[in-house]
Amino acid sequence: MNNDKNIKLILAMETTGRVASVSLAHREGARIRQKRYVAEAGYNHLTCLMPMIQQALSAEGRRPGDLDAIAVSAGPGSFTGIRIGISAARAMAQALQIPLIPVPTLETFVYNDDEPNRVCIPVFDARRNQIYAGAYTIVRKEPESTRHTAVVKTIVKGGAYDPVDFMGLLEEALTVEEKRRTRFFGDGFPIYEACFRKGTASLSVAPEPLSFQTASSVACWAFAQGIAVDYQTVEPIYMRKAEAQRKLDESREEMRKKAFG
Amino acid sequence: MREAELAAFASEFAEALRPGSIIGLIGDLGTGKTTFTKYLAKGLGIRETVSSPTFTLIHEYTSGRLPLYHMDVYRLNSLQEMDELGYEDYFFGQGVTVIEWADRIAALLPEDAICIRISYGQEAGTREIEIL
Repeated sequence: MNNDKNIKLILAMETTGRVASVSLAHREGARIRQKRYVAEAGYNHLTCLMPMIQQALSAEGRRPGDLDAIAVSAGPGSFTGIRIGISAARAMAQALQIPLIPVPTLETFVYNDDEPNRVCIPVFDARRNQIYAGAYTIVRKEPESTRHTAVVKTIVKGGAYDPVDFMGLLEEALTVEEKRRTRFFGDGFPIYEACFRKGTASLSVAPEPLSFQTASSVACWAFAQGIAVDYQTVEPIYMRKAEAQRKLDESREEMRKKAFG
Repeated sequence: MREAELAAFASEFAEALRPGSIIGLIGDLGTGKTTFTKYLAKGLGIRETVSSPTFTLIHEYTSGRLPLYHMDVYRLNSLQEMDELGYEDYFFGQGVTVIEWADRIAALLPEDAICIRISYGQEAGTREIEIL
């Protein structure tokens, strides 16, 4: 594990998607025991986040002061959601004087899937015909390593992509053998499904409950891959739109300025 | 048109709005962008008092048929500041977004946004409305 061995109890927050969740996670040797709390309504993060945290702590008779660190899903995703999570996490870490573990949201999906050796491909709708996406797999260097001690390998770097470009990158990066074990996740998949199916002969899609961001995977990533840092250094990972799109936007602005006079 | 006609137009317009509708308002200071929004809000069944978001940037009203997100982008200096406001969560959300000074962020308006230009009419107390 990358992380400090003294970090045993963490609170994980996930607010970058439609439904917020938190998880109180304990590390016990090579295992992780955790309980997750999920918001009842979507896009209600501001209202539900703090009560869920309170619920998670009090259910186990814990106090905020018992936490060793806070893990926060840092994006990409909903801008508002990311900011709520980062602000809440930074505030708690500051008040409790504990470190933060920033977690790249796309990578957490390797822990959504129970099946080992998958190539996990999270796809979020970034609107305007773009996606936030990446491709990752868990690599076990030693046979005895568990998914909580193995390393996450990046196959396609997370970023804002045009769906067709992203499929091109996947096609190039994946080996024939890897192509047989891909699995797609996220709210962007159904929107661009036709595009993805065109590029892949056999394609596996995560079932609904595994398909979205979740605080349990944030906790797993934090324990296995995370680095605890000072809260002041933690920034949102927005993954702004690709440069090409920016330029297109600018040229469109010029056009519209002319049209509007 | 006079204010009463503007009010009638705005409330009729409000009936056609759907979740995700985006209305850009373009017009000089004092032409009535906020006034138009007030009538639009009334048409949506919003009971709260609608005030100008010039200094607060965004106001949200939720007491009507659809949520109304009322933005004023006059004070923004760059398109990047729109990102920081989380504008996409509004534009592509479940409510109606009205943007005053929409010409300043024209590049970010989706294709299906409706732009309305309000300008002073020939006669005192009248306005001209143009749907772009």
